[in-house]
Amino acid sequence: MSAVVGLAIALGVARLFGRANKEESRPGFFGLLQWCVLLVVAVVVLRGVLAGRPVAFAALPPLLIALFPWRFTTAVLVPRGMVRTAWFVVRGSTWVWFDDNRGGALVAAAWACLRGGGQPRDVAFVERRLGDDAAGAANLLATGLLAQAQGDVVAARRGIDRLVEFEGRVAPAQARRLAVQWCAAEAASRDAWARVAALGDDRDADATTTLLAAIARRMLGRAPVPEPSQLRALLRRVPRRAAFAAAVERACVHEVAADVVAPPPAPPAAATAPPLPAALRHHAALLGGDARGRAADVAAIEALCKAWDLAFEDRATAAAVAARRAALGAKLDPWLRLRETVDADLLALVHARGLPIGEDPASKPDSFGRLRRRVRQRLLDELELHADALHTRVRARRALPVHEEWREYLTLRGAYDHAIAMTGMGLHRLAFQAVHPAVCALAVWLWNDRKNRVHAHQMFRWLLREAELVEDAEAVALQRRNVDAGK
Amino acid sequence: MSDAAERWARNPLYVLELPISATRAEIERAGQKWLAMLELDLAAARLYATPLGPRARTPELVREAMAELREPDKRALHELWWLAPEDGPAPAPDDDGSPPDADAALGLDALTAAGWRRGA
Amino acid sequence: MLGAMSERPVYVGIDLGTTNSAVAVFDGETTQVIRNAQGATLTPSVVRIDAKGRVSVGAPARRWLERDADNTKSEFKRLMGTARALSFPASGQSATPPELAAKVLASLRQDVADQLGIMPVTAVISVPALFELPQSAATAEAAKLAGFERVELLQEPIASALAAGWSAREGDGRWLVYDLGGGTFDASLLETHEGFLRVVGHDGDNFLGGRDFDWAVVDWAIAEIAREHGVAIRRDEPAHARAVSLLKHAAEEAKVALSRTDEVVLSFAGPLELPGQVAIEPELAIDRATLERCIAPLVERTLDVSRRLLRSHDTEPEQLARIVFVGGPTVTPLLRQRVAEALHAPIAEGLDPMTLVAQGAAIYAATSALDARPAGPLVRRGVRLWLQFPAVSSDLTPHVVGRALAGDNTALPRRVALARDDGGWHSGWLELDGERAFATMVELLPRRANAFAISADDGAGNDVPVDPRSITIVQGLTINDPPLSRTIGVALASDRVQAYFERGTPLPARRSFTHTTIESVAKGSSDSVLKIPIVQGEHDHAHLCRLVGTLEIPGSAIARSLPAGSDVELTIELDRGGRLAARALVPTLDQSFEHVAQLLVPAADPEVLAASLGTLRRRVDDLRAEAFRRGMPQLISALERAESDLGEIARDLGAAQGGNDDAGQRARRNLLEVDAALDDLEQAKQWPELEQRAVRTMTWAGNQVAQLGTEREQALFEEIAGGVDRARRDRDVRELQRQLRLASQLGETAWYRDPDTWPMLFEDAASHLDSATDLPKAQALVREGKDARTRNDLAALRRVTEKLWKLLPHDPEARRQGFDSGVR
Repeated sequence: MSAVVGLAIALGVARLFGRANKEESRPGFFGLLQWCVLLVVAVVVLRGVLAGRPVAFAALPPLLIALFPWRFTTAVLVPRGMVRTAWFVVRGSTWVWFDDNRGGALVAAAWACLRGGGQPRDVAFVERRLGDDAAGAANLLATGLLAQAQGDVVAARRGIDRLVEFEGRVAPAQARRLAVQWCAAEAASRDAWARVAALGDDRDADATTTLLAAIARRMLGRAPVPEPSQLRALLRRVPRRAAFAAAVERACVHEVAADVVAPPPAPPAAATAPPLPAALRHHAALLGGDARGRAADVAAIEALCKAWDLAFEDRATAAAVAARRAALGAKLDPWLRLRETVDADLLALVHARGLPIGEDPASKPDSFGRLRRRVRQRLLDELELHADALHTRVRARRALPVHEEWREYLTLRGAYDHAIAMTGMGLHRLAFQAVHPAVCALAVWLWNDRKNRVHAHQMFRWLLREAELVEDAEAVALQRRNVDAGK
Repeated sequence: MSDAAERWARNPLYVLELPISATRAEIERAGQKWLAMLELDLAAARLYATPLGPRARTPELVREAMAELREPDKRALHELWWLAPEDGPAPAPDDDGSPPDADAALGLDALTAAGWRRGA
Repeated sequence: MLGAMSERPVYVGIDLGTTNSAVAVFDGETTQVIRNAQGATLTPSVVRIDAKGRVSVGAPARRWLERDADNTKSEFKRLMGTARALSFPASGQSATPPELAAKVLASLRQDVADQLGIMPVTAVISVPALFELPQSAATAEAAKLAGFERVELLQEPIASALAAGWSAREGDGRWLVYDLGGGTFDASLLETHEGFLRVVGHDGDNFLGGRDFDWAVVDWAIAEIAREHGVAIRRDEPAHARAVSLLKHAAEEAKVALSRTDEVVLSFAGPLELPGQVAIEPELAIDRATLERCIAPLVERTLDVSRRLLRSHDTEPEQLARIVFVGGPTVTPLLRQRVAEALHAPIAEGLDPMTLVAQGAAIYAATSALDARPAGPLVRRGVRLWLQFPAVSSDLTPHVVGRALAGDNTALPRRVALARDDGGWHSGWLELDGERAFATMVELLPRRANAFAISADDGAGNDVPVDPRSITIVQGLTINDPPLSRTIGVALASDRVQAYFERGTPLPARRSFTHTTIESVAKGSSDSVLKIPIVQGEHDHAHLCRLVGTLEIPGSAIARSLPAGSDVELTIELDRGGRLAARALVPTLDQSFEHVAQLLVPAADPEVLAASLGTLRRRVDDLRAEAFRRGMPQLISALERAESDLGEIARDLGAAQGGNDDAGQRARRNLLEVDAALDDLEQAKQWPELEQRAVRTMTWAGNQVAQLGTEREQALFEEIAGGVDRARRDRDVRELQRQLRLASQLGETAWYRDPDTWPMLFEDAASHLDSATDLPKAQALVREGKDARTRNDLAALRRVTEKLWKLLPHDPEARRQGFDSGVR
């Protein structure tokens, strides 16, 4: 009798929570129903346990799993890389993932796959389920995790970073929470503290993210700089606190400096050296540093450019080179070719490292100015090429699986953001002009023919934002219509 | 390694261990000697010094180096790029093995700590 | 001789020619051209398969060339590397060009065996300087089919220079190798310096060869026949082919005869029969002066090429140490005389232009230590010494490096000594180091084979027998590794080329670069393929280079989908024979792909060629019209050259349509050359054009923005104008194009606000209604648009017009020039 009454109450509550809606961050009708049933069962089992019935003891573990499937999965199944089990268990987890428990199951499976070392069978399992499935935020997180499982952390970062930009309406809080945490952890692993600190302000930042952000502020010396006691307090709220303890202690003893950019390293060449060997030594230092995985920064590149300018202006060297050229009987001017190779080296170095080299508004004739122009040229060339390939594919209607489409869009967007970050806003308008037609065509195709509204809407929103930034009135009008169509 | 560093390390004058002033005959002689020693797998031939650190010497590299130095145009350029290997990059002042990012390093593998990566 | 030969090494060189082939052997000091069963040094590159399937090669086959052309094939070298098989209808057999070449090679190999008693297992085979990879690969395949275990390929000019240089007594200098073959002319500038041979440069004319000299005589004869008999024989008329062939054969003979006598009468193997006409047997006499007149323009063209080559390498003709003549047509005294006079340089005398290449190839075999003797039974006569030394050395003091190999139970030597046979030099005792190795320089006597005796002892004076006990090093001119004739690289999506191996790179070679994909490849999808085209050529633009192979990563073969932006590590390898292997490693997939498709010279389909010829003609016409309009005399004269080349191509195309594949291949290659030349010309005039466009665009857009733009747009326009100015100052084509696109976009945005704009654009779109892809829908839209116009609803009118645009055909998409490359 009491069970029937409980059920009736639960049904009433469920109706209050509204209709089931996959894209809403609210529990669906069936989720509530499931929980109500479980609650009743739990009461029955608990009474059995209190009464000391062995059957009730046997039913306790399955009940606990059924009550807290997500907790169980992340604590037990994921670390053991149990992909299939994780998937099945989370399919029933309606309270954490609400009605998007399909997506949640995918996240769990991808996560387990990642922890299991990305075994081909597991990857295939997740990929099959990602397939042509609807493109919810959870699916995007799963796609990113899968990329990481396959060893492509950059692709994972690109994908999951974008997810953080999603609005709550299409992104269940759980997916965003995990995404924000992942991004913070990933950035912290690279010591990219500025990014970590920024993520700490996200509305879906959880305890782990908050701790990482606090560490970041301490590392950067950015206000409010947390005291060691505050850091330790935050640590206590983190689920996996043992793993962070040592780092927190290191952060506590980290000397807090003002938030300033580190000064450029002094050129290694002695001031008295003749200009050509000096430039060569400098060049070798940067290339060698690059070879050892140490980054060159923009200031170092600029200093190197100056060293080369000095060398190229040196008349004595130029005369010696000319004499040597004549002695060897060389047809081409080695001096010119040296300049070309230096330019190409610098371009490759800046490009490979993605250094924010900035713009060259004054069109300076020196090496650094030339380098800036060439970097800009190359970035635009690549962006156009990329966009062109996408556009051609869209025109030819060669469809990719849904998550691959999204990944391709993210790659293009990544290249776009990267290009702007490297050279500055002057490139923005040209870059937008390069990608707008292709991305717009892709989004329209997804929207009209492939009914993938979620991705298309996100693409329109992005295009609108960018169009506003570059003040392209035509594009703004167009994308506003497109975005409105999705509301 | 970047293509540029790779190219520099392949400078024929390093590969053949010759000075800029080497004559045509010296180039051929040195090349022939290194090829012979590599063929016999002699330890003395396996490595050569460059400003970017030692590199492995291979028969392909030696043959390419000889061909490069035979061409006056290419040789002239290689001579310009030559820098005594021991003169190579002085360790940069901040070369204490610190990791690449500009921000201060903490050595926290947060992805693993948070459970987002398979632990070692 | 025979006995002496088998004791000494045998180095075999083969000149596999278009019309004739030859083989020579080198023993370390002298070269010897091998005579065939007929006693001739030249074996015609002709193969015949008769009705009973019997194969004959060389002169016996050559005799059937006119009588039974269907079953007798010549000039198949030109088809090397194509997919075409040649059929022998009488026996019902067919054979690929490499199979036919293999028959010639096998015959030459047998000649060596007959004469020296040794069946050679290795050889060096010469190939034209500008052979493409598939052609080289086909040549290597032919050698394999002929029974050679190992071959190396050598470029013909290097072979001739090596042979000429070997016998030369004078020292350093630059030489011109003037190689006039059957169908091509090659000029090479070489330099000997301190005993080393180096190719300085190369130039050539693919349109010009000994056959053109014959054709010049044939054309003269056709004109004479037309004058005397009133019969018009046409070279491009298939029905006249037999008569033309008879004429050509007669012309060839007359040309050779005229190098000895002053006048000859053309003799035909039979009457000239033309369909629907009486057969004629004309009697035509030709004298030297006439021949000279016929060939003078052709000789002049070879001289132009030679002068161009010298000029581009800052060499005055007077500086040439000598001219080396190679190829049958250069036997003509007239030609030799004319060339020597024109270039004021001495001719290298005493060299046989017909077999020089084979001799050079044989000498090269020695340089590469390619002893042709089959390996004998292994007899160990002491501790094995593993020795490394050059078989041929131009250096007078080369290194000998050695290492004693631990044998069974024999005491190892502690020191080694080398002594030259003539007693003039001794190394003294050389202590073996920790690796049981030694290295020493030995002294050579110039221009001869130097033998060194090797002795060893245990350090206490007790002799330790070693194997080998002696080595021989020949001192003379050398060239070390076969250089690559043309740059090989990968075509990128931007139509650029990433060079892997530059021209002159010594083979073998191997190089890796990392590319990035620009397109996604979906797993399992059959229409999704990532292509990595491998091209050969000296141009920066991929579409002007020759496609020699494509590595494909198909959706059907990948374990997972490959997203755009993935890395692909591509490794290309070339062996000494010029064979290409490529491997693409995709780290994210952990898969590698090695299948290189289409390693073939593309087929020369006459229809396709005719279409591209038409396109090129139109391009020339357009360019010329523009050049006249704008008064650009240099462009006009450059176009004249392109036009005359196109004329030649049209002739070849005519022959190709008549069934001549070889001419088709020639036309294909030369079309590419002209394409490249026109690209250069267009590039040269691109900038002034772009500048004019900049002025027009900026004026128009500036007006629109000034009248109809918002304040912010006007400020933006100022910024863009700054960018345009900068790009113009830097002469930066791409940047200027980009900025202009921005400017016109801004101009359009403003222009669309003009109330007159959309009615006008609507009218324009409606006027193209006929070509709409969906006519009923377009008609409905036009009706809707007219309504909107009457209502003066501009927003609706715009919507309608934009929809209408979508129904109208696009401009044909710019051709994908980079061979559809999927990587950058």
